Amino acid sequence: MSIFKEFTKGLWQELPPFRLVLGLCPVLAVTKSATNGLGMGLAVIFVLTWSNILVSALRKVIPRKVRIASYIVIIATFVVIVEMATQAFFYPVYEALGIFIPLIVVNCVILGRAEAFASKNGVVASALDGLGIGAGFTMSLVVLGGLRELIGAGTLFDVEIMSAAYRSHSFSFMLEAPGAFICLGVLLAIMNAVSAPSSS
Amino acid sequence: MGLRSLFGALPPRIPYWAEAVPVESLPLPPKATLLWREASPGDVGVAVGDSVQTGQNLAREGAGLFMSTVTGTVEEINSLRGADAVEYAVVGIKTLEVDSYDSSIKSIEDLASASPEQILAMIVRAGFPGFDAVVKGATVETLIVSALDQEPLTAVNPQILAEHAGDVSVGIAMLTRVTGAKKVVVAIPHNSAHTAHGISADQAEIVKVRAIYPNGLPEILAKKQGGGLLLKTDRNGTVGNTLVVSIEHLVGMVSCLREGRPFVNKVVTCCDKPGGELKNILVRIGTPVSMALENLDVKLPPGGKLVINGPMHGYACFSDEQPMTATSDSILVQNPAEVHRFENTACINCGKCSAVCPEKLEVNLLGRFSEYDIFDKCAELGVENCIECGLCVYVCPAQRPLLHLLAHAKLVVKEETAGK
Amino acid sequence: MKAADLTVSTGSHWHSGAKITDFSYNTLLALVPAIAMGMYRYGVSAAGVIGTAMASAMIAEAAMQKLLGKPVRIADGSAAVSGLLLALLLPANTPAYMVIVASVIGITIGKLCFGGLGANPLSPALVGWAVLRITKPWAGYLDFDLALINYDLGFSMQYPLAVLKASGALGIQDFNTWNLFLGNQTGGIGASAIVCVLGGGLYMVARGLVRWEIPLCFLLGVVIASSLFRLVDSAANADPLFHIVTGNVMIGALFLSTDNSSAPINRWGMVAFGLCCGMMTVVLRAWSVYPDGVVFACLLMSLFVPLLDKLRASTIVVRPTNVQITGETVEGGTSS
Ligand code: SF4
Ligand code: SF4
Repeated sequence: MSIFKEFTKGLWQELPPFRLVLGLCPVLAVTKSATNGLGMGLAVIFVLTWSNILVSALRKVIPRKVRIASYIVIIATFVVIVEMATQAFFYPVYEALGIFIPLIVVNCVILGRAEAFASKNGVVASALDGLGIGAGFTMSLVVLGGLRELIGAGTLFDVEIMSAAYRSHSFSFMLEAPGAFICLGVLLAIMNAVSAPSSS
Repeated sequence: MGLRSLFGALPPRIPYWAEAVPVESLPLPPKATLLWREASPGDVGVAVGDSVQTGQNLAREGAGLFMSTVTGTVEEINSLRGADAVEYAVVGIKTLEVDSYDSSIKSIEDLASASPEQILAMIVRAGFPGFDAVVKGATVETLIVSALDQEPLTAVNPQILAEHAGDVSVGIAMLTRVTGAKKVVVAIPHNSAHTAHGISADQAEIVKVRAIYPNGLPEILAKKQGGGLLLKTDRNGTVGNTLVVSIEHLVGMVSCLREGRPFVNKVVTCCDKPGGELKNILVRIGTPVSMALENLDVKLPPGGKLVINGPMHGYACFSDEQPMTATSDSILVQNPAEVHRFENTACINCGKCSAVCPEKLEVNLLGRFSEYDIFDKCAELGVENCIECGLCVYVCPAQRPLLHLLAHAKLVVKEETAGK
Repeated sequence: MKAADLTVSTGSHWHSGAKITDFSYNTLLALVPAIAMGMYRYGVSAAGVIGTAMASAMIAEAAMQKLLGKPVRIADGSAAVSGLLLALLLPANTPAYMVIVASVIGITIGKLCFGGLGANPLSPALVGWAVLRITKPWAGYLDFDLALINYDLGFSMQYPLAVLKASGALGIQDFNTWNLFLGNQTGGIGASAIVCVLGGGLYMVARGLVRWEIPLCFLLGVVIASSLFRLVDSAANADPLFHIVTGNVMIGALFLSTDNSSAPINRWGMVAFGLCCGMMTVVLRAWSVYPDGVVFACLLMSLFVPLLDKLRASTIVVRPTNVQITGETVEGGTSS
């Protein structure tokens, strides 16, 4: 039960971009479409889970003083794997995400989980934590990307949802950077409003 | 009330009263109430039932000076916390019709040859306020004798210049000697018909001051005419090097010292309706407001406001038993319709308050910081410099209680600095 | 002792009678000539844009205040002013949905999310306009040459600033400065009525509701920057007068940059703010992709307002509070 909780907490209580307000750089930058969000999210799940497992397994071995550097090396390893894999098998996604895949290395969600969770907990719990947080992250990215894509371009996962008339005059402000901030802020406000009674 | 300039382009101009108002004497009050600032009942040296003389020092041995202004029997000794958050000792005295004067106030026949120390001691003993710092030895660079009233709807000072020109000259010479001031200024309203005859140019510099609020406030006079800020003492010490004396007090000093009498009668201006006539009354210090109002046949409207010392920076009383003190200049009665109500609206950042503030404070920020209890920011922005003139409140379109907020912040900042 | 039933409060016991609505209602009044000119020129469609903008701004404000649990205060007129200013910047035939999107986003995100009147760091009207401007598919509606193609008002229907951008100082020789000043140019519904805007602005200044520093320095900034540009390359850049009488400069100087809460309140802050806005306008006109730069210049400088407000002519003399009396040394402040 408690192990399972490590997974589910990432889906709501510790939902990274909204609850922890972490990893905002990719959240804002790559969510121009739901597809991009999903791709980014999957990459993060992979890196987060594996780096959590490895950090947790090595937590007794890594000296405290050089732990951040060691975590970065571990994370970077998986990021390179992801980068090469996307480049090889999902080239359009690789094109769209561009610099943000290598930048996963410095994504604070991953380093944050390594530092705050994996370095203190067992391998299984860390793996579940990584999966859960990663899933939550992916979910947020897809929701944000989907919303922005739907309003900004009239499509969802590149499927044309809105009428052609809307698509040719879409509210592309949502695809711009200010649109991303506003969209994130509004979602954050709604989430806080929804969960306010339970937290108080 | 209060004029707004043409089209409002200029800051609001609140003119002082220009015409002379005749003074009418009031009989002695049946009971006088005396207030002693920053003192407790324990500092009072008389007991209930004791009889006291006019001019007698009621303070306990070594506690300073607290002068009785009437002759009679002590009825009540009490304490009170004033609107300025300061403790007052209160003594109520049932008065006798005829004054018998305390013998320790002696007349000084020749003011020109008496020693400065002797004169100073007698000025203080006769009950003139504001000389504490001088007594303690502070240097006075500039002496300002103000023929301006502090507030609109007050008509105490300007006529005195005309009526007692000779005494003014004697008084200036005396005070110059007592304080050792290097610069002496006589401030008179620009629209005053009476120039200061009899005051020679080498005796004092005569400055015409625009008769609009807040130019008559001592703080502003000291800032504009003197080399520094107001000379006043608080527990921490002396601030500034300018002494401001109202011309009423100056003339009072001369006659009191000549006759060996204490300073017990004060001219007070009353106003009971907007645009109405002003009435000047001469009252015994300690007379309750209610008696002054009865005498003028003014009824206090329920829900109205009773303001002492002027509409801008005066204070609203919560009871008509409030006694007159040596610095009470005016009584203003407002009916409920005239009472200005504050609003709980947010500042719209129009900047009018900062533009009008004579101390050039950023009142818009200060008001907000004080509202949200961020007092260290208030201290940083210099809230202590606020002279509580009330102009910011007067102009604020959001009708915010700015002075309330600022005075509160001032108090907190002062307490915090004192605690450190 | 009878208990008198008295009201007590701190001073002052008088009030000048100024109200929050002074500013907004007078702004509405001051803009009446510009509105009238716009309606005369562009007819019902202009009225439609103005009405839509004002109504949607006010409804958005009321709804948002309800949502946030604040007292509904649309009667203070500030939302109406924001809506009106937004409408005056737009071409007469802007589709209603664009107007609504802009005013709703301007009011909700630009103003009420920050705490409402007085707390908004950016002017709501400008936020709304900027949202439209950076939405690429809608750019055609904001390009005056395209948007107003069906109008013929008896003067050159080319947007002067677009001509300047396309063909430099040579292209604008056909424009008569006096004609431009009289409002014979295409542009926003009200913003192009230069003389009416100027008149309304002067009224606001005379009433003391807009302080003169910002408008004057705004125009001065435009003159300085455009003179500098002309000094460098007189073939590509217009003269200062042309800059002042075209586009949004006049409405920007008098109405947009003077929004209470997004402008400084201290004199030197206002001077710096005005100058920077003016110069930034010309820089954006010369170097940005958009023909006019007033709105972005104002938005950008509004972000610097807390900093600019620190520019003060007089420093505060903090009274020394712990000076001991020694008989000789008495600390005195200096008068400023
Ligand atoms: S009351 Fe204080 S803050 Fe207000 S205007 Fe007067 S000095 Fe300035
Ligand atoms: S006058 Fe009132 S509303 Fe205007 S800035 Fe000052 S406090 Fe704010």
